[in-house]
Amino acid sequence: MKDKSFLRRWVFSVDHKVIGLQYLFTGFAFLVLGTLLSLLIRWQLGFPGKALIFMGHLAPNGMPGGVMLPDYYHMAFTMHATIMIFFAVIPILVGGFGNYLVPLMIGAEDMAFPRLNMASYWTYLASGLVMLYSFFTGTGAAKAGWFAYPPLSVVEPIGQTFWIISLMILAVSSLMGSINFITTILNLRAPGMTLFRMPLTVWAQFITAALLLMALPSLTVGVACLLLDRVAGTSFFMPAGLVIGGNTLERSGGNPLLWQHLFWFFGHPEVYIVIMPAMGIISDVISTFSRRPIFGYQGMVYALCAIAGLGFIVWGHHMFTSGMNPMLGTAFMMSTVVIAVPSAIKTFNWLGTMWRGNIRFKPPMLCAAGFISMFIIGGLTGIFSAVTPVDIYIHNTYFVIGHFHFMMVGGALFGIFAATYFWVPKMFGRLMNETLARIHIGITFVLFNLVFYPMFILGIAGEPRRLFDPSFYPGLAPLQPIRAFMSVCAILMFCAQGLFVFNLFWSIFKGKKASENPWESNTLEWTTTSPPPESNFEQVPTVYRGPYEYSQPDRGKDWFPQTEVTHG
Amino acid sequence: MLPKILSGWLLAPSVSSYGPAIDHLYNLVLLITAVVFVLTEAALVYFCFRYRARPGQKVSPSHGSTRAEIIWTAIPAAILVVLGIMSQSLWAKLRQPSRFPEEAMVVRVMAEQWLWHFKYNGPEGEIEVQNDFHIPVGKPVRFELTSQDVIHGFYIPALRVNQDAVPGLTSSVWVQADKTGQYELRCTQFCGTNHYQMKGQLTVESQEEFQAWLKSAKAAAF
Repeated sequence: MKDKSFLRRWVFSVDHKVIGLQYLFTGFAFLVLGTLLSLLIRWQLGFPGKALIFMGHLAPNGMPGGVMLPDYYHMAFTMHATIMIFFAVIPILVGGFGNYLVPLMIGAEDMAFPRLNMASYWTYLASGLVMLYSFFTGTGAAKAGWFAYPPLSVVEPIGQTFWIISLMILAVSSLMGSINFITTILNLRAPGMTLFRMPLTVWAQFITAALLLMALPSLTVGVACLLLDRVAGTSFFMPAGLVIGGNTLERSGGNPLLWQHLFWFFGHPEVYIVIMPAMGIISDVISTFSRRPIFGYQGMVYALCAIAGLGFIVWGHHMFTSGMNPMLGTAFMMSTVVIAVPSAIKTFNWLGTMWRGNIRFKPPMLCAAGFISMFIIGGLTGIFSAVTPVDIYIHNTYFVIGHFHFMMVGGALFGIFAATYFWVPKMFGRLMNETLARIHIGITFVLFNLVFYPMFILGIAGEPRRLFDPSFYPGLAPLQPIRAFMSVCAILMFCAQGLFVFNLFWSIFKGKKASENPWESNTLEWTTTSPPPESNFEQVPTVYRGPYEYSQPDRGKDWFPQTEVTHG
Repeated sequence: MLPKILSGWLLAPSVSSYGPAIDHLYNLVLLITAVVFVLTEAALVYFCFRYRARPGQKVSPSHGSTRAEIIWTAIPAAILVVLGIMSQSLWAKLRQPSRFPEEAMVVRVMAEQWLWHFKYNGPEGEIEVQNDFHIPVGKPVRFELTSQDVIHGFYIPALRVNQDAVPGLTSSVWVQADKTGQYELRCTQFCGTNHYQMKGQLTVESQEEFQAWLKSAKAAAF
């Protein structure tokens, strides 16, 4: 195995660990790009009309002289969301950590279909490149929002077509990936690794894969119809009598709400696809560092299943004010309030795990504590939007942006940080610097709240989303100091991530050597060397117990690896 | 700016007949979530402090408690279902066209990139105005919304009205303003380049003033 060429080993590899790292670092690159786009948004909102000289050179059409035009702002928020969701967070959590960890945690040598795994990564990269290329078309990338509501998305310039094609390619990648995950978890578990002995990280990846498999086709069908509406003159989403920009369109028979149903049938499970892997990771981190069995393991699994199942019947809450039949509003409201219950169970069980534990505040645990505190805020603010009459007031306002960023950044991103601090020692055999990590997590936590908490206040003041310059409304102009404050904090928060990036790369090459099991954790990946050999384990491990047997009585140590043989 | 951290959660007063009912529900949700927020975050902080790693600390080996899990499943479920039922009755009153006030005056709204057209039925035919529109105080008004190009959002925060204007579809909302004054109409659905400028201005005035305005608007239209 040692004689593999560099290309075969690190580029065209079929090893799930290498593919996982490829996903991880590609995802991180997109994460940086998505964040930069969000800073452009914040620049415009905080300091409307102020020039960013270097942007005048980079984007002379969208920001002549460095002053942003409305359509450039629209492109920034469209691509920020698209890149973050499709090309950063899911690839990092599922493609990256999922790929790397699932075979290790179930005691397998590799994924079930290694070549399919490789194809999945390269297809993802291809779709990412198509999305990136769309920035360089004459009229720029898509700018109809990541939700791409027709008729607007049908009449937008060419960037929207690239957006559609990129997502179609990505759907292929995702399909290959989710089939691979499901097959691997069902078929390749080590002897003794029953389903209810799997770590919650693996459970979460399993259910996420099932969600991706079932939700994404709805988007694929939707964008296929949208593409035909754009290039072939069909009318899936185009009603009769449209007059756009003075031109009468020869279309008839379509319905714009059909797109919204197709999109959100995918779009809402998508939200859980983003947060679920993080929920799994956080569960493992909390149990490991609290030195305490996870509270209600089976309940946690059933809660994940309940969220996944209910996640398919709540999509209409994105459409309470869309003009769909109000009777549907009632049904979707009831399913939406019910989906809050399994999320509440998970939160209480995390707290129950910390209760009467012996919590070691290592960096991953700090991230987990931050995750819980922000997940609570994200979850509770969701109730405002679920309750239909209240939603009438806050729908499409900043309140909603605040709500889901507490889930996406406070939740998913803190999950990514936790996973990085937790598993980098396994991936590279080096510990990350703890002091730098603590500073990074502390600063990020404080600044995150300073950026996103004010969004609730803006939303309750009735500030709609997606406004290039909210001060155009006299009623919203007095809130400008808040927007400027948020922008300053966002820029500082971005700078603070330098600590993370530096720590990551410095530790990979120069960090202190990590032992096999630096966190004294129970799960299988900690029984092999750091980093693991190409076939993961010297010999196939046998599993004797569940993953969370911490602090069991009558043992000399407070952990109990899943593979440890007991005598007598 | 600092005091806004908490006071920012209080809604500005509503001026529509059903606004107080919405605000009441909002305040109830705010109260419930505030209590849950304080309790859970306090538990988190307390556990972080109380159970921080110390040598010799006794750790519970328990894998959980079904009774505790049933309790913290049942209580949130009960609260949420009650909230759901409460909002259902209000939602039906606001949105079910069969329950709209029958005597409501009809205003047809046609949205286009990037302005609002309002059509009134006057005694001598139809009157159309743009962006700046009036309604009488204390009278139910039904807006029939549609669009001629892309989707727009018809949002008057002070009246607690928010409804998309979708091409090919007519959506109705009703409102009864209980206080005279001027209120902003904001577009809440992204509709292209000048979305942020798609501002309307509502004037709520007495029946007499409204009639006079209708007359002058008609005069201006011809």
